[in-house]
Amino acid sequence: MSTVVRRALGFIVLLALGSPAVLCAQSLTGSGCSVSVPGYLKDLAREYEKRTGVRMVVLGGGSVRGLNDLAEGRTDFAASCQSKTAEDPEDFEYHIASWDALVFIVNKANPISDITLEQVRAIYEGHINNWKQLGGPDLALISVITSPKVGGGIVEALAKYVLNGKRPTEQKNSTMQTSSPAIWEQIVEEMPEGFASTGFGSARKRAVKMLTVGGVAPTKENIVSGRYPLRRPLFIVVKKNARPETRKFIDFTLGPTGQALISSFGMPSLTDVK
Amino acid sequence: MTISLKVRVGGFIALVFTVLAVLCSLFFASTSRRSLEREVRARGTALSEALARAIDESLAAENLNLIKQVEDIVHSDDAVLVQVFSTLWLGVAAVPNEQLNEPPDAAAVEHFKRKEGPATFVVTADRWTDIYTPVLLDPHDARIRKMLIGYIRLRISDVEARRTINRAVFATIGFAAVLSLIAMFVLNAIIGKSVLRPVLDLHQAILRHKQGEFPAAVKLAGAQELRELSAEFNRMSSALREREERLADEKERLAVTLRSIGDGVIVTDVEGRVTLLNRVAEQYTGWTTPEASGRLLPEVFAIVSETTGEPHPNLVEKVVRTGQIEELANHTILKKRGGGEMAIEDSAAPIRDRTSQTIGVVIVFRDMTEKRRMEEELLNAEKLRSVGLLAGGLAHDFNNLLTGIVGNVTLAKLYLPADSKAFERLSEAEQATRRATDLTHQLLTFAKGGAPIRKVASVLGILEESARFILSGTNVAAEFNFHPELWCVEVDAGQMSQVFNNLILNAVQAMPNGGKIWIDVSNAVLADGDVPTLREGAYVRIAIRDEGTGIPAEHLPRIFDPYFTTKQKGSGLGLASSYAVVERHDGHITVESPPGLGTTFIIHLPSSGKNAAALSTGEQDVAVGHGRVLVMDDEEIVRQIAGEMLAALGYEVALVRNGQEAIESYLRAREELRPFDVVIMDLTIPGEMGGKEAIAGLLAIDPQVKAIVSSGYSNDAIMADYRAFGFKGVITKPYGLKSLSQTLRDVLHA
Repeated sequence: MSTVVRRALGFIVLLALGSPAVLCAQSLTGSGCSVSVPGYLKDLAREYEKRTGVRMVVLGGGSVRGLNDLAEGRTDFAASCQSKTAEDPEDFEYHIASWDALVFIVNKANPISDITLEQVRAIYEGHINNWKQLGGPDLALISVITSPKVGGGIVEALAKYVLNGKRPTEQKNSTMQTSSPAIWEQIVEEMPEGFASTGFGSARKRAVKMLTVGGVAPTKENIVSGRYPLRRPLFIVVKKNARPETRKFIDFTLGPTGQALISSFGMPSLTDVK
Repeated sequence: MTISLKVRVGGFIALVFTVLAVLCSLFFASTSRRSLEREVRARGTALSEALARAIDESLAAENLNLIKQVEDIVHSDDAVLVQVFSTLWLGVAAVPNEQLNEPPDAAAVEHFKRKEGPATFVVTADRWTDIYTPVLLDPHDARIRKMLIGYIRLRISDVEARRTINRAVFATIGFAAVLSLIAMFVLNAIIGKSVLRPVLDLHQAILRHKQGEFPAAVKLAGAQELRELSAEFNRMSSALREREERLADEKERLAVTLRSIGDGVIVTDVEGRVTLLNRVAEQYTGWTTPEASGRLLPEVFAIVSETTGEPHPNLVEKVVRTGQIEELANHTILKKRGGGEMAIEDSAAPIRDRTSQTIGVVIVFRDMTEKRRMEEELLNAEKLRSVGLLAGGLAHDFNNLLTGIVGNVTLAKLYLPADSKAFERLSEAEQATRRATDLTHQLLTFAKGGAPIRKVASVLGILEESARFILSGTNVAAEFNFHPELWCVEVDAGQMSQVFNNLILNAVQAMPNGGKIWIDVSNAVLADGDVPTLREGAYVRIAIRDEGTGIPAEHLPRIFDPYFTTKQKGSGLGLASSYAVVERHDGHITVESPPGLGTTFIIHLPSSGKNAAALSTGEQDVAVGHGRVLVMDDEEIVRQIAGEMLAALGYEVALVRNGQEAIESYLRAREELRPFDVVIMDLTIPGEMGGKEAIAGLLAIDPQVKAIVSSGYSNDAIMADYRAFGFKGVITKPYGLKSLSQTLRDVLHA
């Protein structure tokens, strides 16, 4: 009897803990940028959990989704790789937590290993639709994009660094997917024709090939040194009236320990870049 | 322990149905389980496939939505765990979250690595089923095929399913149980009616038989075989009952027989414990069967030697040891409980069962007191008979002697003047001689009880003679009261006087301090039944009453029994011989003894109805006659005196010694033409022809012969019934002138 009751109670507690809707003192939930989460945030959260005992639940979904979750109160914090916009709620606080870079990825089977920003632009503008055009095999090139309306950190970076402020639009060579680089990365992982833009943080963990840009490989050193030109910040976003527990985690992330850990994860930390 | 058939059958049916129910349930459970498993698997597969379709993007993006979607699944019913894995089998999301990192089954990993076979993989554990479903991302682009982005493990608990199954099983069992119960009742009812009830009835009947009852016939019911069995049983029962009744009758008869046996019977077991006494044994020992049961034989049957007073050795022990019938020595005395002794004769015999095993001892004994007394009495009677014989012989001689005395005395008186002194003396001598004659008669009658030699007589004379004889010298007086015209009777005066003597003597002895005896004599005409055993007719009634102590009522029925006496020195023969004499005279004697009124003996004697007074006067005279008389007697003195007396009476006399001489003389006298008018013959003559034989010869010569038989004692039938033998008269010795003259006159003038 008591066993049954205890199990039932335990189960309820677990449900409560597992549910992001229930914010309790012992747990922090965050979601968002598909680059940040695998790039550093998941590992960091695990470290934090280990050190403080605070239960950390971190998931991806893309910056847009993360910010949305935060705004809706489903999470304590959001990871984002897009800058603060006018549509963001008033009380959002943006903190740069780490550095990243815009990278271009192809299937591992693809012999192409270097690309120029012009070529990237040509792809997004629909001019290149076969890898043959880039000196590769006669294979259709399918570029994974997302709706320009939804956007996201990568879309913002592409607009900034490659497309002269414009967002990628649907072309003959493109395939429209949700605004999560994680999906794009997986499509490229899976599809020899695939091409996508994503962040260094997550791409390095995928079975994909990161293309050198003008011969410069997207490595931590090159990003820190600035030789790789497409560096960009990764934000962590909280509400102004965030709970002290959330604050503590933000402080930890931005503090020396957090930064040292981020660096140790292979990411260009704030301290690395200074 | 024995279990009743009802319970057995009921139990068996219950067991069969229970087993059937359990088997059904198990079968049902097994099939239900399989179908439930199939269902669970199908449902789980559908569920996880739906989840896989729903979460493809969320998983691909690893967004928060994933948890929400997974939660929804977990909340559904029996899904206890949903785990979402990346393609590298790393937990991405899980509900409950704490099981996020629970590793997948190796088999599942292996299955998906092979990239062949069914899309889902099922692992069935003890309490749950894990369904692994690959999650494919559908890019919704014809150019991009679906791609594997992870796996779902959906764990469905069997608990609920099992519970459902169990519920179903229990329901089945319950249903089966109810069915079983109903079936059991129905079957029990059917079997009960057709099999059990008859069998139980039979059983009950058998039990009651065992208890010795004979219940009514068992009802014929149920199956055919049972009906036949019941019928057979009924027949057996009635046969048994008949046999039992026969046995009971037999037993009853045996018991009655045993009870009725005139000897005492005691039965013991082999240890000598009494089990049964018959009625006589109860009477003799003073113990009843219930009292004596279980007691040791010597206690109940205490026997000692008459001579030594020593207790006898235990009979039972000896009989059981030897197996022989044990006769007990004579002179054994049984000491009765509560005092009293009894001479007994007994024997003890083993009781054997069918296997000749001794199972008890039966002792049979009889009261020897009576037999002993009988023996003594027999001895007494023998003595008396000897005395009688002696007396008979003596009396014969004595009578002859007396005949001489009486004859001489009477003759002497004839020659003397009646007023002389010598005449008086001779009269006295004659009187004394008569008494001596009476005494001799009494002795003879006492000894022999001969047939009465009846002669017409008056009882009054005999009575007066007896009274005078007995009462002389006593302080008892007799008072006579008689009818003036008393009828005469035909009696043997000697025997009758003996009867009166006895009665008067009894009366005297009943009045030791003296008193009076009333003697009433009267005529009586009786009708049939007035007096027992007497026919209608004329009788003379004689009542002799004393004023003594009377006879106790309990003795009255026995006083005429031989050897019954209350007197210290009585022979017990007085009243018995009196009774015999009266009976021989076709009369009757009774006694009355109302308490305090003395004792009265009443005698009825048949009468001829003639006046006795005339008779007595005629008898008084000595009648003188004439004629030739032949006297035959072996005694010299008798011959002489007879000759003298007959001569005195005026007769011519011839004397002979025996029958031969008598016949010769008679024949010669006839030839000489001066025949004898009368012949007087002694009945018996030792060693020679007596009157008994001679009469035949005389009758042959002269059928008209007038013969008188003479004897000293009347033990011979001829004396009582002389006419039948051809005699015309009888005269008992000793005889005087009077009786001789009378007899002669009677014969000559008949």
